[in-house]
Formats: sequence, structure tokens, C-alpha cells
Amino acid sequence: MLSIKNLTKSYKGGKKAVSNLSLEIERGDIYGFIGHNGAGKTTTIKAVAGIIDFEEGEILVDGHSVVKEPILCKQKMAYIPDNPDLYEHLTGIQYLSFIGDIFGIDAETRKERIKKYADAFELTASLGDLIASYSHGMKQKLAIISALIHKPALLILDEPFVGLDPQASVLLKGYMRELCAEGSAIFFSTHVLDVAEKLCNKIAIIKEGTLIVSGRTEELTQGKSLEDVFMEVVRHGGDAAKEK
Amino acid sequence: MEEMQLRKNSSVVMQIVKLLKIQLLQYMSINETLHSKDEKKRHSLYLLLGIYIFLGAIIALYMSAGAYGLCFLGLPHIVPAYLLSITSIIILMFTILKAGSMLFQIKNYEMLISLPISPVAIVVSRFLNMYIGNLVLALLTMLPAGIIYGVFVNAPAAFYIVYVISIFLVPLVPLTVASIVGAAVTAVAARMKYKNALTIVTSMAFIIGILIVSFYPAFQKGEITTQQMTDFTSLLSAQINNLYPLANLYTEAIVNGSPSAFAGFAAVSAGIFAVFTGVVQWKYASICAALITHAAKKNYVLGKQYSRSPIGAMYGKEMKRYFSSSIYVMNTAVGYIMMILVGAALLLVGKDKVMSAMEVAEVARNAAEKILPFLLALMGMIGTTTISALSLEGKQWWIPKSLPVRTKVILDSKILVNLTLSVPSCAIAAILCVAALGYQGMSSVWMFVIPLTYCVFASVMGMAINIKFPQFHWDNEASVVKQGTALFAGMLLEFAVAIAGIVLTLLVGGAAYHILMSVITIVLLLITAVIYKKMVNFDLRKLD
Repeated sequence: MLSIKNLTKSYKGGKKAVSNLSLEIERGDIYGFIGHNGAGKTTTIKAVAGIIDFEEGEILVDGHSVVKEPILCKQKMAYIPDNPDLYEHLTGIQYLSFIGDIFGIDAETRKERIKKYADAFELTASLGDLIASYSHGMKQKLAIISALIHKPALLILDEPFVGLDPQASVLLKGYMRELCAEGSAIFFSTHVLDVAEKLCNKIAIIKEGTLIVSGRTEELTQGKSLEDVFMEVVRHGGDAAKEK
Repeated sequence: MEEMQLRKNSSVVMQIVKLLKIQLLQYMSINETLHSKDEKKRHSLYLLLGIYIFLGAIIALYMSAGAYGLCFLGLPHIVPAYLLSITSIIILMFTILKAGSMLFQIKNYEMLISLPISPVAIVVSRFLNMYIGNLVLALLTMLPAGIIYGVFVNAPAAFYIVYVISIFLVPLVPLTVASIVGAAVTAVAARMKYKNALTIVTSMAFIIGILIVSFYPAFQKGEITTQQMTDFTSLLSAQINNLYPLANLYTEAIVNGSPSAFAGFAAVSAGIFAVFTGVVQWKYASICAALITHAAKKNYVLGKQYSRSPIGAMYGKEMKRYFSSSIYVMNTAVGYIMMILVGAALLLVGKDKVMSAMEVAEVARNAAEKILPFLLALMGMIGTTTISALSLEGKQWWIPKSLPVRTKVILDSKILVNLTLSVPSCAIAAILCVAALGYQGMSSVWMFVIPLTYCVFASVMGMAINIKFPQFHWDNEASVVKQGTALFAGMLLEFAVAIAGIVLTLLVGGAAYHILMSVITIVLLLITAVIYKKMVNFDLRKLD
């Protein structure tokens, strides 16, 4: 569903944020992307979402290039950033309608899906209020609903659990599993290793812009906790893990 | 006890200095540019500095020419009052639109108020931030022109010292008056449900009020003499002089060298500022708290949903964005309001009166007929929203970039907002002008075609300039709407294009005039089409 081939992105000044990174995310995958702050996770995710450009490599969504066919790729995916900076001058329902219009969701389906997700996240009563009046968690919930209402084939999330209350976190994990069971793929970054270990069937670890290890969760951990593996991998640059 | 008070005061002064430093570093994104490795940002800053210097030189030259003219006409004694009045009115007009949002900037309010910082330090530092900008303006408008006056009247050395000191005092009163109005509007609006709408309406009403009060007496006199029509500067100067009570005191201090008058001027200027600061800091926290409190009903019931096309959704979102920002509306709508007011004023004065003023010289009448369409165009272009529409996306810029919509749709939605505002304004202003002046045939056609063509051109050109100089990292919308590189580059270009049109049309007459107007229209539309075609294929991922 998502194919990242030899992605390299340098920032102004020459520093490489991501170097020669390759990943394959298939339908049904919940793919966790972990690494230190500044490791290159957000840069990779933004490049996939079509928000920033890159110098080298290729990103394909369902076989289509995000550079050559951006509209087709974006139509298939949804992106939720680490900080839910939404249009504060709109009300919650206006924002969801806006997203619904852009993705061409018919009115009936839109209403049904908004009801399903907004009720579940207990946000329905606040949908008539300006987003400016929302708390961080409410904005995060709204961003999640806006991503789910168009049933994306590829869901990309950057630190989705930050700011969510425990109930919303459980709900989100459930919806992520539901989406994948229907054939979609999910690629998300997180610092919460427990969540990654329990939720993801595949994991990739990135350090200083370079992919250190990637693969099926149980193959990477081999009975150890993901926390131990992560610490070992980032300390030894992945050598130890690779030798395994 | 005294020592403690002294320590407290020095600590407030330090807080003011530190807060002011942070604010000044945001000017023209200086700090961001200094710490960025992005060469483009550096070039953008140099360009902005260049534009500032150019505009500063123009302002200084214009005011100096005015002062020289008055001296040459044997009226040197009114020069200081003229400079004071013009400078004060400019500061008042420009500051009134932003004073409220600058003083009560809520973006970092919660962070500041959680720190052990005095509200006095916050208010004074924000006031000083505006003061420094306006002091530079006052130095440009008053210093070179004052030197010309000094040389002309052979003033003693003491004059120059007193005069330079006085320039530092000049911005205080208009700035305080603008801040009082801005603070009052913000304080009242903060407690209302529709804060922005109230701020926009009251601020606009105040500006229209200033315009009407400034010009109404001229029309009331019944007869506009040739001298008054041709010497607009002296007419304006006389009007403003009457309006500004401190002008006489200032004349006494500067022209006649009265120490008591100067002391009075200084006391009034500093006193009004001190009283204002005291009052605002007293209510500062409650006004800011009211501003960040949004009405949340939490009683929404999901009803029938309606779907729109992507361009319809983008356009709807852009219109809501436009009206959600009072500073954006006030800084752009002022041009449209001005053009309609000009048309309305001409209609009120009446065709006969205007024609009688013009009949003195056929040349003047012809020139006015040629210039008016371009003046309307210029006023329409002042309000170009697209110059800052992209930058105003700010932290939400990721949303359009991540959506499955083409660049064309994103840009079209912003251009359409500008056309929604400019096209009806141009049409209304043109109808009023044609009705007022009785233009017929092609003269009336150009009154519509030229402003409309220029507004279409400005919409697209503004968008292209904002793509060239985007600024997404800002804390206050004023830094994009009033100070951005895109804004000044765009305004300068649009002004140059309008002036070029005026100069060209004044050079030709008869049938050649109509051919030239057709050529200007076609060329502008062609340039617009070329820029638009290039722009809609731009890769927006490159803008960050």
C-alpha cells in the first residue's frame, strides 16, 4: 500500500534529515515508526503525506507516485499531524463538512460516519462550537474523526496518542484495528513503546535519519520488551540487532 | 521601603526591555532569518529592507517638498504645525487598525501571564513596540522637512535641538488615542459573542468618521475655490490643523521658541500616555481573559448534512477565514470603502459644483476624467487580500497541502475571495462616479473596465507575490497583514502599475486615448493570464 524507496531529504544548510530510507507497508499492516526526537520520523511522514518535497527516492501509494500523481495518492490517504492545528475559525461540524466536501463524501454517508465517530469520542455536542474553543484533546479527536470519515486506504499518524484521554486512546486503537481489518494500512510514529508493541504487527526504528531495523514486531523483539530492543538498537547503532 | 519600591520599578523596566527586545526581533522575521540557513529568507529580508528604505525616502521627499512649497509661498510659520498634523493623522490612521490586536495579542498571553511579569511591563512593551515603528515614521516625515524649514527661516542651533526632541514626543498622542480606541473596541467586543464583527464595524465606523470629519467642512463651505482644488495639500493641512488641538501649542513652542509651550506639549504628550497605561494595565488581565474565552454551547445536535464541490468548500472556508480576522478585514476593506466613499462624495457634492471647479481649465477636466479610473483602481488594489492570504494559513498550512486538491483549487479559492470583495466595490464606485460626473460613452466604460481589470490583475499578482514571499511562522496576524515582504512588494508593484497607467494616458488625447486604454486593458489581462497559468502549476510542497 505504501512503498518508500531510498528516500533522502536534506534541510537547508545541507543536513540530512532522512537518508536513503526504504520501507514497505502492506494492506492490513499497522506499522509503528519509532525513534528519538529529531530522528527523522516527522520528516518521513510529511514527505509521505505530500506536505514537504524531497530530493531523492520515491514514495508510492498503492503504486502511484506522490510526486507525479499527488491528488490520486492524497485521495487514498489521511494524515493526522503531531499537533492538531486545525482551522480555528470554523466550528467542528464546519471542519468535518469541509473535509467531507473535499473527499467527495455524499451527505448521507457523511452524516452516518460523523455520528458514529463523534458519538464514540463524545464530541457531538461540541461540534457546533468554534474549534478555537476546543481543548488540545478535543482538537486531536476532531482531527481523528476527519481522517476516519473518508475511510482512507492509508492512514498516516504522527504521535496520535499525545493529548488523548485514556478512553479516546482505547477507541482510536480499536478504530485502527477495524480499519486494517477492512484492508487499509496504517503507518504511525510514536514514543509510547508499549502501545507500539501491542498494536503494531510491524515496526521500524530510525536513528539520525537512517533506518536501523524494521520487520515484524515478534521477530524484532524475540521475547524481549520493545523498550529493551529499542534501547539496545539505538545505543549500538543497530549492529547488535542486525546480527540477530 | 523606598529601596523595595525602587527594586520593583527597576525590575519592571528590565521586564519591559526584555519583552520589547523579543517583540523587535519578530519585526520582519529578523530573528528567524538570522538563525535560519535558508538563503531565500535572507534575500526576502534584504528585499524588505530595500523596500522600506525606498518608501522611507519617498515619504521624506514628499514631506520635504511640501515644507519647501509652504516656505516658498511665504508660509514658513505653518510648516511645524503642518508636519505635526500630517504625521499625527498618518500615525492615528495606521495605528488604529492594529492597536487593539497588538496590545491585547492573546497568542502568547497565557504563557506571559503565567510568568512573574507585571501587566504594566506587557502593556508598556507592546506600546513601545508600536511607538518605535511610528517614531521612525515621524523622523522620516518631520526631520528632513524640519531641516528645510530651519534653513529657510535661518533658525538658531537651539531650534534643531528642541525640534529633534519634539519629534520623539509627536507619536505619543496619536498613538495613545489610537490605542484608547483600539482598547475600548477590544474591551467591549471581548464581552460579546461576535467579537470580530463588532471590532470590524466599530473600527471602520471610526475611520469613516475621521474621513468625513476631515473633509466635510470643505464641502460645507459651498464654494470650492480653484486655489483650494489645486492646492490640495494646503486644504488638507488647514483642515487637520483645525482638528488637532496640539498644533497651536506646537507652533508656539517651535516657531516662537516658547519654553512654556514646549513644556506644555511635552506634558500633554507624556501625561496622556501615562494615564492610558495605568488604566489599561488595571483591566488588562480581564480583557485578555475575555478575549480567549470563546462561547461554547455544547448543545449541538447533528442534523441534515449538505455536500458541496471542493472549490465551493475551499471558497467557503476562505470567506470564513477572511471575516474571522478583524485586522485582515480592516486593512483590506479600507480601500474598497474609500473608493465607494469617493463616489458617494462626488455624488453628494453634485455634478454642477465639481464641473464648475473643473471648468476653469479644460486641461484639468480632461486630466481628472483620465485619472479617476486609475485612482479607483489604485484604491481597489490597496485592498488586495491575496497578498497575505497564503501566509495567513500559518500553522494550518499543512491542511491544504495534505488534501487531494490541486494547487489551482487552493489558489482559486483565495483569488475568488478577493474578487468577491473587489468586483462589487469597483462596480458601485464606478456607477457613483459616472452618475456624479455625467460621463457617457467610452468615458463611462473605462470607469468600469479599468478598475475591474486592475483588481483582477492585483488578485492574481498578489497571489503570485505571496507564493514568492510566504511567511507561515507568525504570532500576530498584523505581521503578515501589515508588515510582510509580500505586502510591501505587492503594494509597490501595484502602485507602480497604476501610476504608469496615469502617466501614459496623460500623454495622449483624442482617439489615441481610447486605443491606449484598450491596450492597457489587454496587456494587463494578458500578463494576468500568463502569471495565473504559471502559478497554478506551482508545487506547494516547496513552501514551508
